[in-house]
Amino acid sequence: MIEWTEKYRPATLDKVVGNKAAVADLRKWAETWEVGRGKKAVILAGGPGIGKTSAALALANDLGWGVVEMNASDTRNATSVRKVAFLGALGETFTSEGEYASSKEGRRKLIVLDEADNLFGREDAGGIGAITETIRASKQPIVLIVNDYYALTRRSSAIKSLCKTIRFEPLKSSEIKTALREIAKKEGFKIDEEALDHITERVGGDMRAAVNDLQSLAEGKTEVTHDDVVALGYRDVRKTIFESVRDILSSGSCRKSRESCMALDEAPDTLILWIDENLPLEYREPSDLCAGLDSLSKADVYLGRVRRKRHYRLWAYASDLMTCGVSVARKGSAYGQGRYRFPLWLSKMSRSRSVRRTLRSVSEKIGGETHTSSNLARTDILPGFTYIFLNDFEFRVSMTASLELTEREVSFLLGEKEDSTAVKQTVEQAKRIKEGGSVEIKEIEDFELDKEPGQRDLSQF
Amino acid sequence: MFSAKAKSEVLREVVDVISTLVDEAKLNLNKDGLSVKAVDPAHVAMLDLSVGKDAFEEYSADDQEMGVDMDKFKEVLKLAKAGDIISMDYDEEKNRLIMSVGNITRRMALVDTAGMSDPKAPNLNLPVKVTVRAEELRQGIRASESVSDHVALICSPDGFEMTSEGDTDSVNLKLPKDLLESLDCKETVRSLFPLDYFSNMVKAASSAGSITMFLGTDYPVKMEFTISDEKGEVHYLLAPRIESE
Repeated sequence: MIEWTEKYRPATLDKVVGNKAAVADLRKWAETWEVGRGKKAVILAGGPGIGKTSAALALANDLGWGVVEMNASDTRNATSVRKVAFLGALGETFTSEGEYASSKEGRRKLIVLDEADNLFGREDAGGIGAITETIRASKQPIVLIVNDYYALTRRSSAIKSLCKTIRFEPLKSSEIKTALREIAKKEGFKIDEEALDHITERVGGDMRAAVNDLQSLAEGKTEVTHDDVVALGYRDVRKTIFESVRDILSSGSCRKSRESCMALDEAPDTLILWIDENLPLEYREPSDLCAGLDSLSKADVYLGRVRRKRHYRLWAYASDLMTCGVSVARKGSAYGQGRYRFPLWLSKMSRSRSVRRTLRSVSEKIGGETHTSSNLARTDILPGFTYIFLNDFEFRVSMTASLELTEREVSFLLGEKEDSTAVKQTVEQAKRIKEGGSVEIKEIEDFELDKEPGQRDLSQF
Repeated sequence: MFSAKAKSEVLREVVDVISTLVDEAKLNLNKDGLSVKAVDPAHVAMLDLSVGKDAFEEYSADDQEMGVDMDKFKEVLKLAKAGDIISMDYDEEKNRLIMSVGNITRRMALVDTAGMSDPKAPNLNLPVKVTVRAEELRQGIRASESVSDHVALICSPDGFEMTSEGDTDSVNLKLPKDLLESLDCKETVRSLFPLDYFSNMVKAASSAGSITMFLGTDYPVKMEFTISDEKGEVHYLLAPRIESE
């Protein structure tokens, strides 16, 4: 079975749906591409399924260029990026059809690094640095594709300044509908407007999701109706969590809020955050607020017990306290708040997630080496460790070597970007030590850290 | 249908030639032998390999394609000593290749060939043809490897030259006409190539006595040599590096 997302991938830039300005920008960049003139690489940034990869591939096809593609299914550590992207970027091209595409005739090789913001862990170690090197040395145009622009540029300021950025926006419902209709016509089945509405509404501008949904609905059928779509059980979870919160906070009915919670596909520990965030918006009477939060705090006690003892039966009490308990705690009237908010705590935690993860991994490594728990390593050892790490080059290198610190961890400790000279040198020297060599002290002078020791407060995580 | 037996060293040479460029390859089989055409992941080099059925001890096959993971192939070869016979059979039902060495049988899942390209050999206008002893090239590469990561191949009516320029050092291999096996050259040509590709290609020619190269200026090199007692024919193409003006 061929996936429709591949089968109907646009062959030319003209056929790429939506994002006209971005596509035109991309075409202009490619057509005027020359070494030493303008930026050698371009970042296509935007959410999933909106045509970034399609645009890059269509571009190469339009101009008769070869394509070298690396995506998340390939390992992308320093070695493999050098082997494929770097070497590819220096030389002339054979296309996959076996044509020789000479740059003298304006035929180039487009190096496409898909999901470039998703370089993680040990298997992708050093990938970011190698990508920066590749862009610097390249004699061929490069496209980096990212969902999260900041996830990439946070790790490398060099990439940011070396690349031109083109943003792609989610597609409009009308654009997706037109495309889906066309596919339906080519595949020879009928689809009614309501079904189309339902699919497009659900995907939120993600064309790939829409096409995948359409395929799963229509494969082997001659007609797709609204009932088929509904029968698949599509449900918008986020909409219902708003509804549940509204039921709990403003119905005043124990039963209604309990039932609403039952129909919701969220764990109590997520729901409690939503209620906590929005309770003060609805309960404006101090005594109501107090009673509501009191009930919520009791629910939280149960949740804590669930977490500690893995005793999931206690969820029932937590749920009842946060639904019934909260809803009946209000004696006055609800304020009638129009919009509810996404839990602030969740968004804060997700923003600092990668930092926390690095902090944890560093603490674990130090703990392992010093025979202490990672908690103790974090609170007692890490502050002093960080101070020496910042100020003593030899200590930094030998610790990096013996703790096997990754680039991410070194960059975290130094407060520098992952592809900065300081991080690179530290990791390189550490590697040399592990191979039995000695540290070359002379290179210390080459860079200066601009961070004052102790400037960063690690306790905030 | 595919069923064959071959000496391990013959297979090893074939695998070395292929794995120099790609990790997975599509083998095209027919009654006269097998052939592989592939472009490497960086789209810098191409391979056109054909191995006649005479290279095998026993060979019979229908027209078919087989997607093979070269690493798995190497694992099986590691089990064999020189002179061991390796037998291969295609299991159509489960789409597997059954390989046996001595008392060991490995059933190997094959790779889907749908995503693999089918390159055709490009039309290149390469004016110079030179045949060099493989040993001389290997020596030149050994000398260059510590100096630079690229190598210039130069040919003039007087002879063949290989030059590697590093930041501080340089290496030059000069073979005047009388040390070459043959030379057909009317003009001087020069192209620059990535050394590790060139080196791996020459290493793959481990059993070949000599290598024939077709050259142009700032143009790909085509290398031809034989493996498996001249029953396998290898054509490598390597694209030049783009030199900054």
